[in-house]
Amino acid sequence: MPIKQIGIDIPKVDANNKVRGVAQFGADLSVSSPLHLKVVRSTKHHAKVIKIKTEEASRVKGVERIFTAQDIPGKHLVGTITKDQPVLVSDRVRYVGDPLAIVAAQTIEAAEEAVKKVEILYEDLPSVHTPEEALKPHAPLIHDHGNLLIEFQVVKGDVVAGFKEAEVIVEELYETTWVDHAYMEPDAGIGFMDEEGRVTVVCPSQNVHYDQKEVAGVLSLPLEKVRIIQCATGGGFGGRLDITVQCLLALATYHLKRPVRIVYSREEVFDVISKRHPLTIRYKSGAKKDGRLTAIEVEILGDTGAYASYGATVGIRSAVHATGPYQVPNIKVRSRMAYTNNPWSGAMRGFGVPQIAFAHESQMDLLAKAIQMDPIDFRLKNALTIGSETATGQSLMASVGIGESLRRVKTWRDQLISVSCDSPRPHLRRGIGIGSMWYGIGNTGIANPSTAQIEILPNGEVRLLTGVADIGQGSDTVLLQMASEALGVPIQEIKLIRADTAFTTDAGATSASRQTYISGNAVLQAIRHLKQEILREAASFLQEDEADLFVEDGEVRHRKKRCISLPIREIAKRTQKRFKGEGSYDPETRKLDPQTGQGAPYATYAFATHLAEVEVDTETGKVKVIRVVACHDVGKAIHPQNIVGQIIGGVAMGVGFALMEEYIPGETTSFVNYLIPTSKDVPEVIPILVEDREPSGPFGAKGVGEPALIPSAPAILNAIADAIGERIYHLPANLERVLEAVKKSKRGGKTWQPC
Amino acid sequence: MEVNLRFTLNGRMIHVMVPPHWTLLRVLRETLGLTGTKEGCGIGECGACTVLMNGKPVNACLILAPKAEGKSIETVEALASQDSLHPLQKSFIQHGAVQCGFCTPGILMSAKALLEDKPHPDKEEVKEAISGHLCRCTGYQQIIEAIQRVGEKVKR
Amino acid sequence: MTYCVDMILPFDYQTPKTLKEACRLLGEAKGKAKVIAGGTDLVIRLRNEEEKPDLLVDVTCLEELKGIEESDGTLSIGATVTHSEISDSSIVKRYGSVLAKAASQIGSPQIRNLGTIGGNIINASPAADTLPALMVLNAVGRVVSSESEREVPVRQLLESPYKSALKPDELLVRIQFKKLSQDTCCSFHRLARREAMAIARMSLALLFRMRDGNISDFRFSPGAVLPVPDRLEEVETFLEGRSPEEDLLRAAACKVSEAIVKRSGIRPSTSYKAPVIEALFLRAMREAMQQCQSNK
Repeated sequence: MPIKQIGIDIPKVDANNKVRGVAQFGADLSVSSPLHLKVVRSTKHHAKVIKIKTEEASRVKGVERIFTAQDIPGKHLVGTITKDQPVLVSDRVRYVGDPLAIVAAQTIEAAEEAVKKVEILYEDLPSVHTPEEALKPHAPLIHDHGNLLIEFQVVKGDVVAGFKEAEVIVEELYETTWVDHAYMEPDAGIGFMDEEGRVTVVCPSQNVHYDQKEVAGVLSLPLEKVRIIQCATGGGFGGRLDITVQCLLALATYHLKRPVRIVYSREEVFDVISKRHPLTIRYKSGAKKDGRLTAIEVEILGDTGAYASYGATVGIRSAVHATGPYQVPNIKVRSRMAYTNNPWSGAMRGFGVPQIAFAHESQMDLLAKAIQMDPIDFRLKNALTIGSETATGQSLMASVGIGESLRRVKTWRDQLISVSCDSPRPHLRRGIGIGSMWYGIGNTGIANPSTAQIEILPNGEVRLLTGVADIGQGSDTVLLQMASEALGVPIQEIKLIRADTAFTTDAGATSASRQTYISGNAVLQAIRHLKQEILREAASFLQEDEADLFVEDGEVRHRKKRCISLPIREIAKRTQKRFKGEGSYDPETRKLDPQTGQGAPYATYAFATHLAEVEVDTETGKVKVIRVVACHDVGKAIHPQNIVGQIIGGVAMGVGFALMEEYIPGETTSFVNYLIPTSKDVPEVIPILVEDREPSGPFGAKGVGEPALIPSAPAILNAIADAIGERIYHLPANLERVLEAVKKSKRGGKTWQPC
Repeated sequence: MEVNLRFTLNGRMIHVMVPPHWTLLRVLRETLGLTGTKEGCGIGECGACTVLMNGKPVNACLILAPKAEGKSIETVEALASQDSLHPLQKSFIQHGAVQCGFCTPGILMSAKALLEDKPHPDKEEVKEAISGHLCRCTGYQQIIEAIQRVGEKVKR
Repeated sequence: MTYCVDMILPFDYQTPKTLKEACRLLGEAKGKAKVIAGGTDLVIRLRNEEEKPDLLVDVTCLEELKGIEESDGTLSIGATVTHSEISDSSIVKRYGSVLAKAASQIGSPQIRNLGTIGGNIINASPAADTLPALMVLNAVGRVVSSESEREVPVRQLLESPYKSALKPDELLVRIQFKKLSQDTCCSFHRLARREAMAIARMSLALLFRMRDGNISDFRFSPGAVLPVPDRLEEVETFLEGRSPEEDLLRAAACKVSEAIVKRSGIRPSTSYKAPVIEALFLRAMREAMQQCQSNK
């Protein structure tokens, strides 16, 4: 029986342990008599550190050791792109929450008490809290190299001519705010010396091999002396791409040579983990009355906070995606990210694209209205298709499902609009909105390879080795499905070894919606290589010509002699040999020109359109999202149920982004006042999958993790505008902003009433 | 000071000495090693620590240990038997209701209490029953389906 | 700055079996003790070190503080009765539906299973959900100590935001109110940023009866708009004995926001809250009047 594993909903391989409560997350890990770590943190926005006084704290009963920057044997700074973030601060703190010292004690209580007794002598420095201020000529410098982290442009055609040609021009200012990942598991982990003398850290992570490099640098150890293991990870959404607890655990383990443990509180996670970048977007776009876009000019300014983190990525990605999934002949986009003394912004699901999509989709609705065209027809008229050239001058060769997603959603929209009835509640207004997006899979115009191995041991055991961190999205399951399909061995018979630097090789980060596409390809290549090795061995074992042999359904077969069929695992057993296939994959991209932003930054793009149906209470500003129809071009759905899960979860996060999520430093320090949607706040989601096969994707697949979120907020905001006749330009559209918009609305909302 | 604490845990009478300022959550996780019950916020706002106390879902992070005296406490560890999963657990797996899985144990407990009270809840009742749980991954829809389907199976 | 993970400073813990013993413990502690019932507010304050008591007195084993009792004209609710018990109680639904509705919208199911009505009062949050309801029910608390026993209207149990008016040795035992007659029309509304587990942005409770086409015995209390929850007498007097025409209701709504601004001053939130409380008031009035109509 041939195995068919692609496109079916097998049980997620991690689910059994999770429903039984035995999956071990960071705080669940046990290790014998660990010391407990607590971090002393800055209470200042910006200050010179004159002295860290630890004497009194050291005398607290149970305290074993207090570490400061002086105890770091290697590099003091870490960071995914720019290394500017101190593991422990020695000279100056740049935001409230910067780490200054680590207490290691026998009990949590002792560590906590000692933390209170560490005294920091500061000399205050002037602080800066908006990117506009930070970029003024005499602003206080947050880093010696200046407050401008990155400036990036995408320039194409002639925008002056483009706007001259335009018959309508719309220009607006859009603002978004900090958003917390709000992954449910607070960061936590353990450190110990493993049996081979490696400094070992087990914790939630989105990229163990990156963690390993940083820890090795900080400890000045060769890579092989550092081991990072990813434990069950309670969500990530980009927040665990940066270093969280890894270096703290490793530094203490390195010095103490005994097990240590750390658990962050939720408040600490809110204070010290990265946030989504607040962006200010000035967006001007022009169109002909026939619906053709002629030009866009976009100015993006972001607050990257105290440290660089993924600020550059957000700056570049938001600029590259600024057009939305549309053909625009004349483009000028400038994107800048500035340092401030605010909490640091980093990677969060979409890297700036959810923010820019809010702007471009609002613009599309405004233009459609200005030229009196149906918003979906207007989008369709401009939508990218096969053969289109993107903003960066890349020609799209295949798998461009934006048009199909718009057409599928249009059917729904037309049905919904035809249903209308009177309501006894005149304060409720209903509206429908559309949001579309495109999203480049993988890192932007830079190498982002993945590697994987597949092995068959002499006892016949099949092992898939991958560095990919599954953070709940299901990569373990999907990679196993692919391996099972390609090798012809049932999933239950493939042992997965994952995200442990001692056994697996670098697969890159679980980010940029890249693992299905990139690591999936690496797994498939490993299997191709494994098959070659097996055929070579089988040829000599069976004394047949290698060219006549092939692998199918997990067996070596002969093209002519049908009697020859030998399970591949049998070959390993009989020859007592170990077979190993190495795979790697790096998507084909072309670097972006530093002046013009022209190039081919991604090998493939995902596309989606959401429709949101909302009900606005025009007297309170309360918005209820009733329904979201979410149509995604995923290339090929390897595990449809997982994809649907990503989509529904993405919509929920989009509802939060649209309506309620706003991190305010020092104020929204817990789930009491940082609100994310509950089961009673989420709409009914109707997922629709479009499978416009990507030729370079594994079985045709692309990615969906971030795309799931991106179109929701734009669709909801457009629906609110449809309902009340006035638009909101500042996220989130909370009670106050919606009511304000209702007041401004001249027509007081439209007359179409809910049922 | 420590207090002598006796309560029924997952059907078995237990006896522990714990400081009264420890929460039930800490006793479960640290003293008794039952780490299936999670701490997501420590202030009753996320529901990850939900256990059943005398059959009702409560936040273990808000319960001081002495309050467990004489009570019956059920945690996620009680759901599966040696050789088979609880119907809710099976349904969660079948419907793709588990992503990162951190909120899962708590939601399972609220769902168990719901189904014991109302074997065939409608969608709104399920939403209400799990409204004290935050889930950042799933958007709840597959969780709601998983819970409702168990109810439907019982009906048949 | 420190962060705790499920960690609370030590204290002694007593679970008295009699009211007398509880009062003795509170008296002897001389202000160093805190009463704990459900703990949904107190445990958070302990965790945040906003309270550092030497002793916690757990009152959930005291018979006097349990149960919902109905006598001739009165409903009596033990201070340790949980929000779930109140919202599920057929007696409360019948004779004080405004309270049942308020209790049913608190926090989450888990919080409602733990949190108690006594705790909700004594915690004295400006946004406490049961307080507007209790205010319009003219609820009275029975307060005891070793020395005395007194009956205190709920408003007088509150001193300032998050501070009750109880003396350190006093204990709130029961909450009582006169059963509402079946021709009473009432309404409770609550607005929050989220549909569950969210502090009320605004709430309100009101009730009245119709006598010969006029509003009678009108009572109104808004939540989360005053530093200390209260009735708005100026609005009550304004509507008393008058016929509920649309114009009058609109005028009353203006009185509501005026009265609130008068008491709380103009705040950054006023530009939002003032029009919205007016709208919620009108909605509540219309809802209650519909009830009156169907009562007929």
